[in-house]
Amino acid sequence: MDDNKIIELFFARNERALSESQQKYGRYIEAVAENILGSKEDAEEVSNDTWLRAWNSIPPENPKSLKVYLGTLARNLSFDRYRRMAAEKRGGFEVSLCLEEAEEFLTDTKSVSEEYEKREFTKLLNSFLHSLPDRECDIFVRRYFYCDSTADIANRFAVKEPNVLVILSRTRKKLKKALEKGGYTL
Amino acid sequence: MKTNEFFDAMENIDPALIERADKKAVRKRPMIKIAAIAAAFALLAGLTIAVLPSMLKGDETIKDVVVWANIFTMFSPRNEDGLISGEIDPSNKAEIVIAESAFAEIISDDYADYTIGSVIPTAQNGVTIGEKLGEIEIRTGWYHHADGTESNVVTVKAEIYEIGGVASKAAVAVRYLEKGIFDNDFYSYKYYYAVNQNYELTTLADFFTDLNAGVYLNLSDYAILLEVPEDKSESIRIDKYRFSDGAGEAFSELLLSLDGDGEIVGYYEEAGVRLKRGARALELTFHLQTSSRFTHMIYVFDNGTIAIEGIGDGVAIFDIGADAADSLWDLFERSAHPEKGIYADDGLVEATTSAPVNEVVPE
Repeated sequence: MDDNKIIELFFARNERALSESQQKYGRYIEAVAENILGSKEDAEEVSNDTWLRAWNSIPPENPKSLKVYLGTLARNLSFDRYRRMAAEKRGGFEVSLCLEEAEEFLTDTKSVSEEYEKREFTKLLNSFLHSLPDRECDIFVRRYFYCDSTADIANRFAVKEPNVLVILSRTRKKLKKALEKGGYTL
Repeated sequence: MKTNEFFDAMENIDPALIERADKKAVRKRPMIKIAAIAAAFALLAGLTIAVLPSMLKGDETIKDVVVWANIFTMFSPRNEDGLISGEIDPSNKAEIVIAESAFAEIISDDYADYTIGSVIPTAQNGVTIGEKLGEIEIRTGWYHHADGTESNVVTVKAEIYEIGGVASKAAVAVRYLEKGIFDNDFYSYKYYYAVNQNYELTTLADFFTDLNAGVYLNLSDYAILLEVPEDKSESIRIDKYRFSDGAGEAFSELLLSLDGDGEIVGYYEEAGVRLKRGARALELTFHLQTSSRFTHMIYVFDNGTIAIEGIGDGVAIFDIGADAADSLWDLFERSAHPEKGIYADDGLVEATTSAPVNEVVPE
């Protein structure tokens, strides 16, 4: 079913919205969650939470892309769950690596807790990502949005895994520079 | 900034970027290319030639080329099948496996997107080295495919030079200022190609200009005809055709006069999908060895497409149009003669015949 029709069902509070979106994006949502959490069982639970969150948020939300919206919900819920699991000393290996990599260029010296700063930071991040060649940007997004393993990224883009590591490392360095240029003290 | 905040911000990036990054389906790599190891290149070149025709086909899934243990037997871990370095599985000659390979990455910003390839054979093909462009640092060592680890990593200083007439935005020459720490000298005082992986491909004419193709791009005096026989699903080499006197040169000139928009597509697999299934193709060899990435094959298809392998991480596809393709094929059909008996019925080189393997061993 077309995404617009599914969203119409959400707006009409028709529960078929859930079965249709599950059928269409169920595997995608579970893959996003499993990448982050490293566990099928946890991913299934996140998947259930995602449908519930979608049901409660559409309307008023009216996503332009249902897939991205659901994926973002799943990612958000997975990270929340990961953080809880990390506090309990268990959790996904891949996301630990992602976090470690991010710590390379993000040190805990400045907070962007203010809403304005968050918005500005997101703007800067978006502008940085748009400035990258498509492939570098896609690889960065696969790694830090979807939390794909570098091996999976290598397969997806048909490149060697060391190339992926190099591309990510260079992109992180570029991002660090862009952030510094944007006034972020790192 | 806290890492959590970065990950939260990633959640709010442009949805179009999230969607685009998800568009490419997960595929297994059809082939892994390695850099810098001469012996591996020699092995790869030979075997690549053996498997390449089957990769250039239509819309079917292409069989993986597995990369397994190679070269440095004493250092290489056993792979999953228990094979060790230097062995080729006798049950599948088309498989190439590498467990360990050297890597060399430029860490200086200006050239960070350039990938170092093979030694520039300045004594051959008339390739010259131009002016010095700057100094850089290179991180180099071994990458172990089995466990994803690196070893013997060192940072060495090097210089960047122009390759005579080649635009530095496309490729440059790298000369190390120190010698490699291993007996096999995987880096040395020689000049190596370094190719910009983010080279922006525009048109065939610009591409030829950037590579100074008029000087360096001497096409071979023969072409190999690839076809998809009716009873087969893959293209195979039909025969090697040698151009009659002067015709090879005319073919080169005609090729160099062509133009058309280009784009880089995924290595082999995606290129194969884009090419018309069953199209005939002429396979020609470049003598300009612009690194392992700019390898040496060009394919002229009878559907108005030219494919040049190994640019960046993909294949450059140029749309030259049906008329231009016809003129190349017409010249080929009028002036090239088959050398029968080079290839067996399955398109592979007869066991007793030597395949024309590109020379990639450093001087």
